[in-house]
Amino acid sequence: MSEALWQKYYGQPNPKYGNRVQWGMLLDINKCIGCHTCTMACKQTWTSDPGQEEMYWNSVSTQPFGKYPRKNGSKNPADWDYRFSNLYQDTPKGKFPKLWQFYLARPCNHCANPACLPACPTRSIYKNEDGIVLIDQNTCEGFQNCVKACPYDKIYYNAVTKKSNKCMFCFPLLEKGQEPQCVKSCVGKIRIFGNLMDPESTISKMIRDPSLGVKVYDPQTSLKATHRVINPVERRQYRPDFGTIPSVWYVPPKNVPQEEIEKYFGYAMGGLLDEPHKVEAPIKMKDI
Amino acid sequence: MTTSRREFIKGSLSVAAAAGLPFALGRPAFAALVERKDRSWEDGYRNLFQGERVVRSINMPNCTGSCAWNVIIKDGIVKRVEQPLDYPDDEYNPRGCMKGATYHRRVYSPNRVKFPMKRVGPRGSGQWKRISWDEALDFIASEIKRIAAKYGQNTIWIYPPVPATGIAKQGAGFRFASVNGFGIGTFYNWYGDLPLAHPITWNVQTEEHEFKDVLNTKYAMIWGSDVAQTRMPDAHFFTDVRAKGVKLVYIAPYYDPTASMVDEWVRVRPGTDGALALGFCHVVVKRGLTDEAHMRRTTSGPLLVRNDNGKYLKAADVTEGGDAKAFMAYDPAMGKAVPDVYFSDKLALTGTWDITLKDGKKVSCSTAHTLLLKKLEDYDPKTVSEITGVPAKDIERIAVEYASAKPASIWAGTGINHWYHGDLIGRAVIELGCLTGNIGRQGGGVSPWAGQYLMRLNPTDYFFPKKEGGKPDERYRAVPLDTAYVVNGPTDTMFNKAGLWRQIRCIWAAGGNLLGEASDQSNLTRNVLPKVELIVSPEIEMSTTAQLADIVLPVVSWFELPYDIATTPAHPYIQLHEGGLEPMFEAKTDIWIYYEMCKRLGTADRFKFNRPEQAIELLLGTGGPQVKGITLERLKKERCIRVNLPSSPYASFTEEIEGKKKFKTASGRQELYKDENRFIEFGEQLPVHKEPHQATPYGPSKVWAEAKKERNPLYEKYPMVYHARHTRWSVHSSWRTTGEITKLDDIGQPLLELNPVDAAKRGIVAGDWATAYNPHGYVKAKVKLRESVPPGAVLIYFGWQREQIREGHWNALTHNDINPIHEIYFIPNVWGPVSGHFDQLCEVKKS
Repeated sequence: MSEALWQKYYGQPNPKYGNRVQWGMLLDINKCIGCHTCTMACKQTWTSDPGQEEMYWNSVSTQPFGKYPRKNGSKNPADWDYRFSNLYQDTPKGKFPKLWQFYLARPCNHCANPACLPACPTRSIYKNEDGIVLIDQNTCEGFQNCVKACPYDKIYYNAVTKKSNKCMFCFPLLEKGQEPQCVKSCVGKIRIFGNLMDPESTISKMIRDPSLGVKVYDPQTSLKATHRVINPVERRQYRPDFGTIPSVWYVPPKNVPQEEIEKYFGYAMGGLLDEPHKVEAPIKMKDI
Repeated sequence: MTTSRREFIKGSLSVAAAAGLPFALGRPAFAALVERKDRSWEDGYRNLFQGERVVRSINMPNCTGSCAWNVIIKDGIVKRVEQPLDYPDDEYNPRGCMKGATYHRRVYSPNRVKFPMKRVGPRGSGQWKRISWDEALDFIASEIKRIAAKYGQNTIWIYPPVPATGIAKQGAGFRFASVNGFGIGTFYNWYGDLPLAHPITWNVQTEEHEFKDVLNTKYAMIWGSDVAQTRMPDAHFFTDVRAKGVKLVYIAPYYDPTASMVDEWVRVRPGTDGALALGFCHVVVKRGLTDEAHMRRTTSGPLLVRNDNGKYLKAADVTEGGDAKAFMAYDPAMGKAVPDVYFSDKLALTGTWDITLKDGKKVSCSTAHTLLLKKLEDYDPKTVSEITGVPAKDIERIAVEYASAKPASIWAGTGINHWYHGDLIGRAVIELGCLTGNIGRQGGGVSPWAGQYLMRLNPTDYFFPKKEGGKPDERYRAVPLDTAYVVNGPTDTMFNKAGLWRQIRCIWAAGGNLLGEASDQSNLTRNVLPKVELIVSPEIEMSTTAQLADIVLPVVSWFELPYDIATTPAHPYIQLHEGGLEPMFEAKTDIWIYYEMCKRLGTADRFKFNRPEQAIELLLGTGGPQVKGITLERLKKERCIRVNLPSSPYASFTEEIEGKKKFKTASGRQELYKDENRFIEFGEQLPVHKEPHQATPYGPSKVWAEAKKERNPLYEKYPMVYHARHTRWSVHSSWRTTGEITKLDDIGQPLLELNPVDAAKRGIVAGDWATAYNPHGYVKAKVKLRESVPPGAVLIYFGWQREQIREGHWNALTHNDINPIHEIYFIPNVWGPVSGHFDQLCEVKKS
């Protein structure tokens, strides 16, 4: 991401929501070992209650075949299958010797222009001062428009509480000076967390200058963190073509053919879209 | 709460403000940023974390991880666990995988053993009667006394725990066996984890670099070790070093998760890794990349070997009254054979001479290195390519890359060890390390990391207590009997058969899920268990062993265990474990159970301890130089202390290769050449490639020149190699019944994984039920198809408990033929039969 682009997207308060902090994440897919420690750390902290059995705010699946949820061609969340979230694990594509696979870990993107937020008829979704997208559990009435609207399928309907749940970037832990569970537990050390809007933060510097990755990560002073090393490869977003400007960034895998990379992380550098466009929910996923 | 939150926001903004950003804040579109008083739901989540108590515990399964976890307890219940992030070296933070993150689910598992139970129906019928602790212990004691009187004390056999996974509690099993004179089994070689090449070459149990040493390497070969799945807390060292530009090569038949995170994956025919290593050696030698100084100074290379009988030439052969233990080498300056001097530069590395013996006869002698070079002639890249299926040009290139990078390292796992000829494969790999001078250097070496055998202290006084009033070193000792013989029956070539072999009559399965995990499952259940009159299973959950036992005793989980200490070869720390929960139901600690048993057997005054603290103090007090200065008090304060090691990060043999001390072998050198009779008998003085004992289409257990002319008759009927392998989702059978974890393992049940080509040949499609079978047994499971599995192989990720398998058992197909080389000596867990359960064939049919 060029300096100019950074200025455009993170160098000023969010034009729509005004947040002056945007917490974000950078995940190095080259380093992901597919262990799901992030998934479990998240689940043990947040989603152990009835109604959340198949709910993984952070999910990991082996690409290209792993899908969570599996939609079975339906647009109706009631038809979507959240079971077997790790189906087709370790199943590569291609023929010997040209096989490829990679693990795609996905928390909520806490988009700069979230698709879920405007879709909420009860205005229960808001983007807080730190850029975290939250669903007010007191006012949510479970219409599930957000579930349909989110192109990343990262909002989950809880049939027991009759409300929708989603990743909160562990805001209570952030306030205690800790990184989110999926970041601090990441035993593959693939994740960097920080404020994308702070020009001096490690994460914003690393996103602008990939070569900074191989240096030992100097954690944000406000959060307790461990040292990490990230591959010096151009950083991209997952499916930036959805236009929601996700705050979760990735280092695409080196071992995967470039044309396949483009299908996942394609429009990031070539085009973070010029202006955040208005998202008409729901967006149809392109076939990968 | 609100105050602290405001301060936090201010804090996060101030950085941006200081950078002078223009903050022309427009009107928020959805009023999202308005200070809302109605966000009380947020406080609901904040309040979740109030009233929590934190205890630092260690997870102690046999996965080599030894990871610390903060147990977070609220109202006496474990809410969750988190990695403490407090290892003194930040490279080791965070440590602990998703299994550790869900251990509390096992603590509260519905599968827990809650009280002592006695079998009332046939074995395995699931008919139990709840009994009291006193009844249970009295019953076991009376049975043990009866069996001991009838068959002998040493037919009571303790299946030993892996000691480093909680040295106090696991070591208590050894102590229990010792003070009562019971039999004790082996674990490290029995699991197939012991790299016998290490005792053969270096006369050490195993030597490996600590994981952080990966950061020092310039080139890494990961050889048959799926680190991404089986070494999760440390796999990041590889990906870290790769990010910095170091090349990683993964050598394995399967496109494993590790294969997708390295620069190059080399697919080798299963069981032919030894040939590949020798092929690399061949290229190294031909290209003149040998580190001759290293070979001359530290290896058996310059030692003279008699060409008439294959034995090392000794001083006693040459001179009257010469030392029978002194090895001879050739000094070209003096023009004669001289007694070997370690680390000398004066000795000839290659050459053949006629040496005059003391009786005046002349005998032709060559240096061991000369013989090694001759042997390597057989392994030109073209031949090796024929054997292994790896293209010859790749063999050339990788060998040169490895030899040119200084230092270059090999991380060799059990994938190359679980073979009948695993010792040969391991020796071939070590030969490559020696030829390139990578042994004993930081960032180099050949490290296996399998099994949590390494205690990092000397436990002798705890395991084998001294006899009071006896001679200074008179100790109570258990009578070892290798687990392999217990399961397979004895062999003719067994070491000290007359002294050691006896039919076992009582199994105390202290070390784990023996009946669920043992290879040779079919023989064990059909032939051995009927002869066993008492099976005692102290367990946390109703494992397969507990289900098949006669008496089940409830044991505390780690979180209910007051204290323990744990170590691992993977990192250099000794850590104090602390529980935090009161024992649940009627569960008791292992050490308490042993003590109570000893009371009933009249040996309590020898066993002495019933609390782990006493044991820990003894262990640390008598543990020797590595734990000097480390006390229980200090551990209680610091929790995690680095043991005293000669180098940091720890690398093996750093002092030896600098000539500061000799290796522990008879010659004091790295013995690539072996001259014990049995090595000579089998033609294995030097590392060679032998075809697998079973899993080959060619002549089994033959060298290539002979093997390629033959066909393996077994292969005609069973043309698939059968591998039951480690998965990321379990540590052996631990966590296999934890719902949170199995839910993430594909469809959460055993899967026979096949290459689509093999499946198509047999009319099998994904999701079909199929049976893998061979003369030993069978297993039925659903089929998963993926290209990761090479044609001609069947993979099943293992660890499933009895009730989770539709029919048969994933280890019913394995059978351990015992390699006579493994029986030359018997030193429990150091030299003994190494399980070769990868060396197995099967056929698959739709069912």
